[in-house]
Amino acid sequence: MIQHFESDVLVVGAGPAGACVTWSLAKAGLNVICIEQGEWVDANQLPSTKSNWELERFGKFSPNPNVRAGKAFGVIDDRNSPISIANFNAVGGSSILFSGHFPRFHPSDFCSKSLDDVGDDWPINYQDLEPFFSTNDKIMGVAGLEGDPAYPKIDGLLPPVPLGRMGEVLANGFNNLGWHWWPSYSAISTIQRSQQNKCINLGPCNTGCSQGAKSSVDLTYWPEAIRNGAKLMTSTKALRIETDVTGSEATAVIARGQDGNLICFRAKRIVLACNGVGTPTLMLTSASKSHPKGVGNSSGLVGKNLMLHPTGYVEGIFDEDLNSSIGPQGCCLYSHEFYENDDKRGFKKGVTLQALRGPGPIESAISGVAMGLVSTGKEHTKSFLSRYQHTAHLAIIVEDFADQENMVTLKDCKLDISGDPIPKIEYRLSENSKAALAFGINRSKEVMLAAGANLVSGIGPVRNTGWHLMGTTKMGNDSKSSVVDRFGKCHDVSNLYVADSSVFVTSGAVNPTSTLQAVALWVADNMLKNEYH
Amino acid sequence: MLHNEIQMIPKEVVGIKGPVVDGLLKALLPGDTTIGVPGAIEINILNELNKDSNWNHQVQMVVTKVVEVVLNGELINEQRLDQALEEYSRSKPRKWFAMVNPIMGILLTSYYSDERVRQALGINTVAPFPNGSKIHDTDMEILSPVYERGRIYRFPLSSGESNDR
Repeated sequence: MIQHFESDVLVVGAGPAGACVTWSLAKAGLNVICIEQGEWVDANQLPSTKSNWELERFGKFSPNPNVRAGKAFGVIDDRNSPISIANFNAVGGSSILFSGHFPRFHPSDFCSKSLDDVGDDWPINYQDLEPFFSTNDKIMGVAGLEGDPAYPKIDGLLPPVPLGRMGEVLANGFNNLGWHWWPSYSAISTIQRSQQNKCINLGPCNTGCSQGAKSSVDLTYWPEAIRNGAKLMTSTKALRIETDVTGSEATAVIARGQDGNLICFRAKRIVLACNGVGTPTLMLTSASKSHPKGVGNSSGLVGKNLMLHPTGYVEGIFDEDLNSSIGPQGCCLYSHEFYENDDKRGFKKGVTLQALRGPGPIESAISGVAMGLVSTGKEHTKSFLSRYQHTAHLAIIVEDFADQENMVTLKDCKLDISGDPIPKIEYRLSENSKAALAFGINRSKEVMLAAGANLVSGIGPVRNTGWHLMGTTKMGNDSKSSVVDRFGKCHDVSNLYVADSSVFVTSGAVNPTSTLQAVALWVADNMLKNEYH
Repeated sequence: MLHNEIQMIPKEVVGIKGPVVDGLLKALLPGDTTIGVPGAIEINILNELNKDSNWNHQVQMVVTKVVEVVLNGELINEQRLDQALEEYSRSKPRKWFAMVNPIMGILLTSYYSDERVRQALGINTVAPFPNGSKIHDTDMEILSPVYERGRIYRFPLSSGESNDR
């Protein structure tokens, strides 16, 4: 027998976007149900509570959905992409494993076409989102430092995450070159807050935070959303969206519950927040007589325009012991010296350089041997010790542009063990991205040398970096060239919304969580204004 | 010696508890007596590795290759085996690396997970939580040159703000 639930709003996905939407609508008094295919994460079970924490990241806390075990998790066929998809299915979604690096998009990112004749303009701008950035910063608890010349005024920040010796050395490198750098905007609580403990520098933020200092949304948004009456159902995977016979209204989402039985969720409004792969997959899976190409896909753009942020890494080895494995792994300092467009560089738009702390001993040994920087044999121990804790790292995040050939598709896809379609990723790097990546790697090497490194190496694109999933249900005013309108509402289906990074028109060159949460709050706020008042 | 003949070499010789594996471990991760770091052979790394069936397969492949290429199929005594491996790794480092690469990941993982190795190297042997780590504060005067340079971001043209930098 199929179980039935009814609500004002059904939200699909309990990650950063779904949490924002649910919080906002429940606070306004709506009856909101959110379904999530993963479970709550027990902080006591996270890798950093174990001495072998480095090994645990290769198993059930791997960011690679194809590595993680368990039937609750789908797999993604990313063999036709040089960048593999990374995510996490749980209450909190990918914020459980993200590094917490939390910069906003720049104002110029919303008007790339007008300013730089590349990509497209968003139908909303930085000023539209500014109040939602601020609200989100307060709830998430963002550490940083006011006065950054790379951004309009951002206030209310918590004290910055400490730079440590590695950060100081890199900062001196940037200063020697006269380049911009700034302490990272970090979704990390550097003070004790009501729902979060103070950061104690465990280090491996990207395996989850046992201390409860990293601002994953299971800690920041969900407790208040639930207090305000939202119902969160875990281990419940959305299978398809149902519409009425005309196809103009969504009527329900059919899901599979923990016991394997089907559940029908009827709602006046449905919000998809399953990320740039999950959201288009659900829409494409829901093809029907009235929506033969997938729900909301009259434009044919659902799943297309996938943007991934090609990423490079540069490592410098220093004589000095930088104690570099200590501290929040992805949050130290960043540079936007090369963020804004400069046509003289030979490519459009720019890159972020983001300092990363050094790896733990196992990763340091393995990557060192693989790169020929750590020898085997009699010299192994000495060469290991000359690298471990002596490295500084810069990640290069490149702005990716929408290309309809880059996509999430179900064409000729296989089925997983539950019989659900396995989405396929078709993706290649553009010439622009390749040029930007090479540029960023070279500039990062210059920073390392200016900072005093005695050995520098760089690679890119790095395969296991497909965290930032954007563009697959593009936002726009024209229903022929976009999937949702400026309020996240589907052009084709009047009560179906998308509130995650799928709606991004451009990708910027920064980690997208801050911006996607501002967009999610914008979507929810406008739903309230336009539909309930 | 042909590949299929090597497959016939007794398991006690090329198997995961045989002298060739021992020789490989000594050649790859001998430790360092000057700083008191034990080698892979001393910490009984094989006991851990044998729990992984994939390891058994990988090591058989590498050992077979080593016997074939480095030892020319000859089954030699321990001392000569060590010498042969050392000489090959020194004279043909690229080929040596390519040969042993399939087992380096799991070998290093097990080696650097071992408490004795970590203690000898001064690496934390307990979980990061709940102790955490202290990081000193930085004098933010270090940011002065960045701050003094002024704004580097742009406004949309429609905002009415100037983009002069």
